Amino acid sequence: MNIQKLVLTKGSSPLFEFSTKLLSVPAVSVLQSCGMKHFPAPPTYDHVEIPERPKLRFVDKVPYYAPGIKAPKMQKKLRLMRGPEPVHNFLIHKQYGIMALGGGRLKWQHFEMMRLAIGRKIDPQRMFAVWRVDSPWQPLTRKGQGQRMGGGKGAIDHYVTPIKAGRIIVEVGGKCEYKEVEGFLRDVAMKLPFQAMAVSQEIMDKEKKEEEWREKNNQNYYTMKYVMQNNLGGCQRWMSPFDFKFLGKYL
Amino acid sequence: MALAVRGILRERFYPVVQAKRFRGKINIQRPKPLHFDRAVFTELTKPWYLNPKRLKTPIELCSKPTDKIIEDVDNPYQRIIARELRERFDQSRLIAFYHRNSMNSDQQYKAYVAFIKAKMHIKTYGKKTLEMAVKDTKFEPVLDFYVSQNVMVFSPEPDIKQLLKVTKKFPQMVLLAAIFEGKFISKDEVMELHLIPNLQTAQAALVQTLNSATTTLTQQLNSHQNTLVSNLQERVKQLEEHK
Repeated sequence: MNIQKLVLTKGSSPLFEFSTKLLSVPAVSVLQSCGMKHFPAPPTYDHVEIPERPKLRFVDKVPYYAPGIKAPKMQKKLRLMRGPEPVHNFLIHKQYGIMALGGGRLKWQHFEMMRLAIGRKIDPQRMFAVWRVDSPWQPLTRKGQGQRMGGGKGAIDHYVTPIKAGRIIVEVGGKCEYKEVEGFLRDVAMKLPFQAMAVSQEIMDKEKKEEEWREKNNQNYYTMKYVMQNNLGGCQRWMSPFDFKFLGKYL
Repeated sequence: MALAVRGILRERFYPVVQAKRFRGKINIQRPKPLHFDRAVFTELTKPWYLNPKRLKTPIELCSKPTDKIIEDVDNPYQRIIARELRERFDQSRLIAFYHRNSMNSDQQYKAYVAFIKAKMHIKTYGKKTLEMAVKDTKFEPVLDFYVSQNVMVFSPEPDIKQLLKVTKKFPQMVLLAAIFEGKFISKDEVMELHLIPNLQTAQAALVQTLNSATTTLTQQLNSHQNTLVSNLQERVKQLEEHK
């Protein structure tokens, strides 16, 4: 390497320089350093209180109605799935959970899947899980197979819980680290009928900071919000009422 | 004029209000592909950011990023060791610094034993620990020696003879410098101190040097008398032998 340098400084021809570069072997310098062992103390979770029933409670398939009351049918209300979740979008216990990234509906089967999967994986002595969604309450109707149009609204088939994007579905906490719970939380999240991810308080804080940075440092002056609010290009002609509310961020 | 007014009154204007409802039934799970216009708007309003590397010089880009190196902020064990080292520095009257060339473990152990027998302690510390111990003290120049494999020998007694005797047996231990009674001394100075037998002899030598002027003067003054006395004594001896 040193020899190469000396030769090049003598003002050699370009052909020679090229040949030396061709023959040179990429050198990788590895600096080894040795330090004193440091075993930092593990994080304490003494402030976390584990409730009496650490596992997720059983959710009913059908909501309870007083006897004598006919179960009411309901409109489809897709607006309950559209847009961001304004209320239940943070972790109460500030530890770990599953967050929905898109809108959708949770059926009783999904609840059972979550309850059993999480119940199997958590250690009830030091971990607990809580529901952050209601048990299924919205009735969905179905007409019999092969039925023609008309004849009134169909009968109630099953109940669902509508979910908006950003909602926390389940929270897991206790004397545990994110690495322990991430595995099974992600598995459960993948099985849900909408895009979901396993989150921790750190992840959510980081995401919030990054979102602020992105908003502040975006070099594109013409954001969707600006364009829609100022009717650039006549876009308000084809915008839906939801676009006026969500400004292109959500469907 | 009256005819014009009547004409205006006859032409009635019926405003037409057409309520337009938006048919917004979407499938949230399987969204419809975007209309071309909306797709164009989406593409044009995509955010873009300035490259963080744009204002960096080539040397900043090519050299290793220092902010990625995670250094332990505080190691309690290291602090304890550094404190112990500091105490050793303060309590030992002789501290020798060596560069250690590669040695067998057997040789290292033999060196350790030899020093223990001479009532000295051989110690190896890392640079970081040493920095923690001696920074902002009078011993700070020690950090300049610490480049490669370094070893320190602490002795409660300032016994240079013993130190050099043991060091001779292990040629892989190269003496660099020492601290003698709280003062830094180089290797040459160590050799000089080695030649001095003990304090009393050194004091005697000092006294002799101080008195050298007067002693030479008296010697020169008494030289003739001394030669006469010595010659007479010899003569007395000769005469006694003859007898």
